[in-house]
Amino acid sequence: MIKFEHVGLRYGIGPEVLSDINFTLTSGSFHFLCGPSGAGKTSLMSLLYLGRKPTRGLVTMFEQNIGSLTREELIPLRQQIGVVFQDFRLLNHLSTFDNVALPLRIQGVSEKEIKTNVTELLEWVGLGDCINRLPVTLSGGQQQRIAIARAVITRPQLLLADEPTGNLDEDIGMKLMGLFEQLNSMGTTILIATHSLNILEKFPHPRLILDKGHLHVFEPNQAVRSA
Amino acid sequence: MKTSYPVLFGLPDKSRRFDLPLHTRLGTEFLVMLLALMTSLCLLTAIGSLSLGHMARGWQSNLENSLTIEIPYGKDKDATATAVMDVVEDHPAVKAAERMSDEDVSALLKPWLGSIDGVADSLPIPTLITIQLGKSDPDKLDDLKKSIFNISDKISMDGHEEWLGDLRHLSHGVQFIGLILMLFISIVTYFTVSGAVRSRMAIHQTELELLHIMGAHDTYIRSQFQKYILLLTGKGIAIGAAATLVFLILLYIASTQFPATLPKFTFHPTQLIALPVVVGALVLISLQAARHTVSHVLKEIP
Repeated sequence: MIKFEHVGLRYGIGPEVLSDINFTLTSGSFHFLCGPSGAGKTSLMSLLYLGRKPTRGLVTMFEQNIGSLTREELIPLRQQIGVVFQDFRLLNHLSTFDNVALPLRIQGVSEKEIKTNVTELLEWVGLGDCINRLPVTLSGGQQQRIAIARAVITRPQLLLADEPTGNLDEDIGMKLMGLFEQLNSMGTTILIATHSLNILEKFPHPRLILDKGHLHVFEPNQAVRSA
Repeated sequence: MKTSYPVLFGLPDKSRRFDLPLHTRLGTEFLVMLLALMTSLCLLTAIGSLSLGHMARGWQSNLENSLTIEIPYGKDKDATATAVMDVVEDHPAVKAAERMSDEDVSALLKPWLGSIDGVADSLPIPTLITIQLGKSDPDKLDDLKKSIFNISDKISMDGHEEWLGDLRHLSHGVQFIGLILMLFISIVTYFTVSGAVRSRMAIHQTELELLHIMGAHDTYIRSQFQKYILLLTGKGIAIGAAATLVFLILLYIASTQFPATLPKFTFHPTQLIALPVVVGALVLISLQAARHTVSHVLKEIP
């Protein structure tokens, strides 16, 4: 599903923040992306959600060479990826409902379908009673669940989450991990960037470990193959 | 936190209207006022230019179709005038002809000679015949001139060409300046809107990137900004058009109250057409500015 071959990334004329990255993610797998601050996790994430193009190497996603695609051709691929940001990136002027509905509206889904799907999903993440509230009136855990709902509302093939439990207490963090497990069991490929040793211990999924721009693969169950 | 502000200069807080937080004020009142000013300037220029053109065309058509024949003072003045009248009355180029009476000529000279009785009679005043010409036909006009000069070579004819030439130059010159001014205002409007959109895009860069990451097409993002600009420019242009209309009504009232100071001000259909044309053009220019700016900025995002 996703293959990185000798991928490098640099900003401007600066040094490479990612060097010779090689890994393959199979469809329906669950991985953690680990590493100290400044190791390049966010940069790798930005390559995965197609926010940037690599400065070298070959990235293949959904069986397409990303480097050869035009801006317009990248759009349908982006629509197959859900992203949960560490800082949530919710639109504070929109209600919970409208935040979650946004990706569907972008894809031109009918309002009737949006209403059914969003209401159902918000019930599933436990926010059925917060539909019309603005994000700023909700707790951090609730905001994170809105961000997750927004990321999965289009049933993406790939879900990327950058420190999704970083701002939350342990109990809520574990509940969110439960949500990710459920999504994965429904076939969504998941990659979560995390620092949390607690989570890494409790959820024994394969890990991509970034250190100073280099990637090491720890693959206890062979779901990740070093290229 | 919601802010309270007069809706006249901003956008009503219907947040769902935009995916991006474009309903927030952030200096929109300056854009609205600037657009109102541009609209007003553009409308006044267009209406002024059209009015002058219309007035000049009126004067021109009055003068173009008329000819003044001047028979110099002399013993055979009346006989010559009668002969000229005989020629012009039957000539196909002439629609109407009138020999001006001595009273009419005296009335013409009154501003210079005063109203003392008998002054005009004691002066060697020429006889004047005014002719209204029919449809423009240079051959018939030449024939008319030849026939008149055959009667006497002392007769002079004034076709007002010199005046007409100056009038045409003045009228065309003013209309050209009007067009240049309108072009200049349009360019300023384009760059004003473009700058406003660019600023908004910079302010909401994070939200823009979010939409982009979610797979929003450029057309989707562009439509958000076009809707935003349409609402703001609509407001600015409406304010400008309303202010101009009020100004014109006041000018009309003033022209009827002070006829000695101000020229008579009347609305002509072309002036009324100018209103929607100018307004429509400014709206289109604003939308194009928004469209081009958004497309240009979005292309910088991979």
